[in-house]
Amino acid sequence: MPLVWFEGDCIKCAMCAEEAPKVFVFVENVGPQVKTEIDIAAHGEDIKRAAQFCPTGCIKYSL
Amino acid sequence: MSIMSNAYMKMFPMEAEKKMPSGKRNSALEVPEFNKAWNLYRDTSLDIMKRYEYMAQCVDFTDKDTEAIKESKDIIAANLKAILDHIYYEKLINDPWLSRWFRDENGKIAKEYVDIRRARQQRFLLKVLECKWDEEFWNFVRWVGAVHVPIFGFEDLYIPVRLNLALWGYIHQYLFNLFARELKNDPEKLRRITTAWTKLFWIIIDIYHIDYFGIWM
Repeated sequence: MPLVWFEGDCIKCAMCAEEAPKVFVFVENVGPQVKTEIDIAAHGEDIKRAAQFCPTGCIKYSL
Repeated sequence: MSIMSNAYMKMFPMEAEKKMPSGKRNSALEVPEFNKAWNLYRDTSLDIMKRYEYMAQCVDFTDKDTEAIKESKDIIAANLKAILDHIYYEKLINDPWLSRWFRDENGKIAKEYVDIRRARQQRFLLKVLECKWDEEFWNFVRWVGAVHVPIFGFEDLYIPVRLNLALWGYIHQYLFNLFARELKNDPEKLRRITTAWTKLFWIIIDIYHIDYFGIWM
């Protein structure tokens, strides 16, 4: 089953939510969250891009 | 009348006179060359891809240059951290003027904010290295420029053009010295890569500043 999650220290730059807005949402004072009820496999490329741009490399995925 | 408008009216008293249309034809507006120029101006103002294509044609930015930038990927990727350190720690947060935007309310450097800006700069460089000169990329460049002026209502954020030019100039020379060092045994490759980056820098600087000057761009 495809999965995406955060691991490590997020600096709350919000770039994941900008790169893959269908997958991530940025909640003020909390940080980025993975949206619920989405088809993760359908957004694989967006997730890879967001993970590439994440400055702390804390976006992990299994697609 | 304010002091400023008083001073203006003293300097330009003709402005106070009633304006009357002269009714004269301006033949310059009717020649085909003017219409062509006007259409070009209009198209390159409204359509970002036409803007890119026009600028690329002006500076002769071709597929060969794109290939040369791809060739430089390995050098930049291997030095990405050092490049960002230089931009941030040697310049942005140490320069008395530039560092102003990286300080907290107590005047100290806001480290977390610096990290976030640095991450965004990294994304910008990585996007450039993807070499996809499409509408999405140029809109991204334009957006990065636009968020540095208060067009979105955030009046505190205004980075003067001179500071942008100072920083672009600094990045330019830093990259070129890096290429010169890494490619000292391959002058032809060095020429290809520095030529391509010079052209790209000029196009980026133009599109980056579109929203700085509104209609004048």
